[in-house]
Amino acid sequence: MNKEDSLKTILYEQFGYTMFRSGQKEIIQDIIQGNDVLGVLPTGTGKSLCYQLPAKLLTGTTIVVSPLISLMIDQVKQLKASQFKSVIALNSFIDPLERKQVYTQLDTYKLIYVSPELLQHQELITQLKRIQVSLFVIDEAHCISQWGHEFRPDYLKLGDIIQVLNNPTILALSATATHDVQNDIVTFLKRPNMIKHIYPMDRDNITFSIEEVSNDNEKIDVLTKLFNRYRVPALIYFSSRQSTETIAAILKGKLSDQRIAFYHGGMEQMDRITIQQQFMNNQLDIICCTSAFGMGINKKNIRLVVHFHFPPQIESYIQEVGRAGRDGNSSVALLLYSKKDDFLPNKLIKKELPTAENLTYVFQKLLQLYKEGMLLPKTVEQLGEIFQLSEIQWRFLHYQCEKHDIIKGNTIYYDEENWKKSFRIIQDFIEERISIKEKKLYEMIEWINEKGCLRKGLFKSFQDTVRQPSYECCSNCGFSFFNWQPENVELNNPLGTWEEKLKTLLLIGDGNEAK
Amino acid sequence: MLFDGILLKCCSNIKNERSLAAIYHLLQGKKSIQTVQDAHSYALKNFYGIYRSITKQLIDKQIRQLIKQNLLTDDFIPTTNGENWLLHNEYILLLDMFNGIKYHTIAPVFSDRLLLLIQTLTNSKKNYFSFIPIIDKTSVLYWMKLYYRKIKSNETAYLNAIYVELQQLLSTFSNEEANLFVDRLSGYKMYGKSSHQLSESHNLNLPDLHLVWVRMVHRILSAVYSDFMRYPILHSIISDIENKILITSSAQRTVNLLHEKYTVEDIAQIRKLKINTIYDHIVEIALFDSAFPIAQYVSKEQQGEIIKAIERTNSSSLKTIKEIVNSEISYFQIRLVLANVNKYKQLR
Ligand SMILES: [Zn+2]
Repeated sequence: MNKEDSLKTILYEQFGYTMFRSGQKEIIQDIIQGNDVLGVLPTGTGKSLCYQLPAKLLTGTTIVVSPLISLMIDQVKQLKASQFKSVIALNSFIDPLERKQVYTQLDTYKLIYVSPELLQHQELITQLKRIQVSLFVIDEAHCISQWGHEFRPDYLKLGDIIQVLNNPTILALSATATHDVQNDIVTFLKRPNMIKHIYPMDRDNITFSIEEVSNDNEKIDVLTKLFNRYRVPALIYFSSRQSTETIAAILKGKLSDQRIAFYHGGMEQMDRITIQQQFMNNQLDIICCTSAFGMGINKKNIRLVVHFHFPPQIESYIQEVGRAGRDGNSSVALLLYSKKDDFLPNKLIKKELPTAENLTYVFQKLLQLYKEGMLLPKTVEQLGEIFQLSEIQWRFLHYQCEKHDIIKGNTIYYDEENWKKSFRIIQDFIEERISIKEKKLYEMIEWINEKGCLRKGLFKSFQDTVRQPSYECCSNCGFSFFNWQPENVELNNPLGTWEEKLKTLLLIGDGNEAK
Repeated sequence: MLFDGILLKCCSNIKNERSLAAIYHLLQGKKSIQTVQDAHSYALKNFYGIYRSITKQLIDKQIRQLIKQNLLTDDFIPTTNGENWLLHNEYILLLDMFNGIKYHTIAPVFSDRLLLLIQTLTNSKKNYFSFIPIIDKTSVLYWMKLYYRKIKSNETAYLNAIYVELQQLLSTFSNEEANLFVDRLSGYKMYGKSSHQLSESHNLNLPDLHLVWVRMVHRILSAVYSDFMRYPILHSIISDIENKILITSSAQRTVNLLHEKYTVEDIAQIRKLKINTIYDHIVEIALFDSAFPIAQYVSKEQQGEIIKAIERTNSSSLKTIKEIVNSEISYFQIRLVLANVNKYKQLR
């Protein structure tokens, strides 16, 4: 059996697929030969298989760093469900006792997902050093780049960690990386021979549509009309958890025969899985969600992705609409826009980064703690409270303070000159981050107001050309919902008395049983 | 409404002799002798541990509501309105169908296992093995693995039997409740409704939904335990666990030594514990075992004196009672008598 056949055998036996999707085979072959790879694959093309399959094949352990904890946990659940058992997700939510026990047997896992925060812990590093790490995967690799929309300071330490782990093969993956970001990743990882596998992001079966309205009520009207016409699997994205709940409730009131649910990262894990699975099983039609939904769920027939609020950058928009139409059938990405929305993402940006006042307060407080001879508390919650920062703001500043030798571990080091100098540098850096984010936001708004072809405009910073669309192109090229006729899905809600429902559920008298 | 009823009932029995925290500990099922003693002396044993995830804030919020609706005074005692409300609704709310003291540990295990069993069997019957388990607790998954080994390839027979058992049980409930129960179940390519969805479709707020579910599980458990020949499958999913009530394992060791006729002092020495700790154990045992011979520790005359003091002061406060009894009577002895008599019953 040649190599290619053996890969295919594993693909089928372990993962149940008969064919590789575009890019997967090439990336996997390179990895197995020990080459470092940068893979830029559009959402929904099976990025995770690019390391799950090698993890099965390679001797030793594969480590996957991912900032998306809930996605990590979901993936582990799915892998375990599909008989890939020697896999674990390490994150700060695991009970410390259990974690200790897991640490002592890390070598029994083929695949270890870990959050970047946890990877900063010396205790874990020490344990990882004892095992053979054959592949180091950096998921969402654009987080390394300061030009990326999701720069994560935690990621900048990955370079050191990779060295400590004896320089295993690296696979950096992203669904959204512009040319600048790609170069940043390669430079940062100091692997100039990294092989790039870059695939086009445009999807020829998605039609883009933007509808301008003057306020939220009009958005609701548009949605009501739309969903009175269609019963198709749909996602509606919102910028806040609260609005997913409120608008879901309003839509339920107006669309009594649509099955609607909301979904956001603040829900209990089991509730999140329930909503995902119900959507997968066609028990739900419409999900009102934040950007937390969609990662790790692989529903092929999502026909409509609506943005009630637009995301703060084009990269996120491409990812989110990319969840539509994975079966290749005609699907629509509809963005509902009102001029008032321009301010929303700006507020979000400010919430992510500490302000100048925050920074001053943190420095004062640090000095006070230093003078009192105090150590920093350990948990992020306590720290956030002391410095009056959100978790994400604190992480940002913590990294900066460590970088400038103000904090080391739990200890504060005071040096007046250094503090003054660092304060200015950090302040400038924050301003720079804000201006990068504002620029991204501006690009997004500019695209929304684009007069030419929306498809060409959307992908222009990622690739030079776009493919010919297989259905209608965009609202600027003449698309209107009037002519869109997707296949409506059938209702499969069991009806009847509780006894009948129970009978159906327990498969009583089910003739088509497999056994 | 069920939650309101439970809170009013607690307030009505406690009559502000305990703080709201006591109600919180009771519903949450705090493993402390004080809480068990409260459950006992205020005749609230059936509510012990029926709402483990409850928060103090939730109780405070609901109590404020009750005060606002003029069902409760600012001192947390039901108003005349409140007492009438209770009188009128107690029967409808089926408060006596709860049996917290008996089922507080087994009920969540039973419902987790049942939900997972049904999901596993239906999927396995369809030869579909990559479903995501609706229960993600390691202990429940492990149990499922062992149980499944014994029954696999018999899915159809098991599912039929489960249908028969559940059908019989659910017929004894209201239509509303039976529907709620069935809507929560997950099967093959069919995910049960989440709490939030159930609360919407059945028009119950989240606390009431939780409590209705617990009340159903308690009723089912009581039927399953008392007639296990009739419910062999449902019984088999809990037959591996002893329905341990509350006795802590430390108290259990003390019981064993008492059976071997060691004295309290001996036991303290053997176990390297304080005498007061052993006293705590004995009170705990007395609370659960009404046949426990407390006369060994409190003479009949002393018992009589303490009971009189309880009646006179109309209180179960140890301090108040201690002040008016013979100074030779110890706190331990008062606690034992309190554990043995049910103040609430005495006063009615
Ligand atoms: Zn176009």
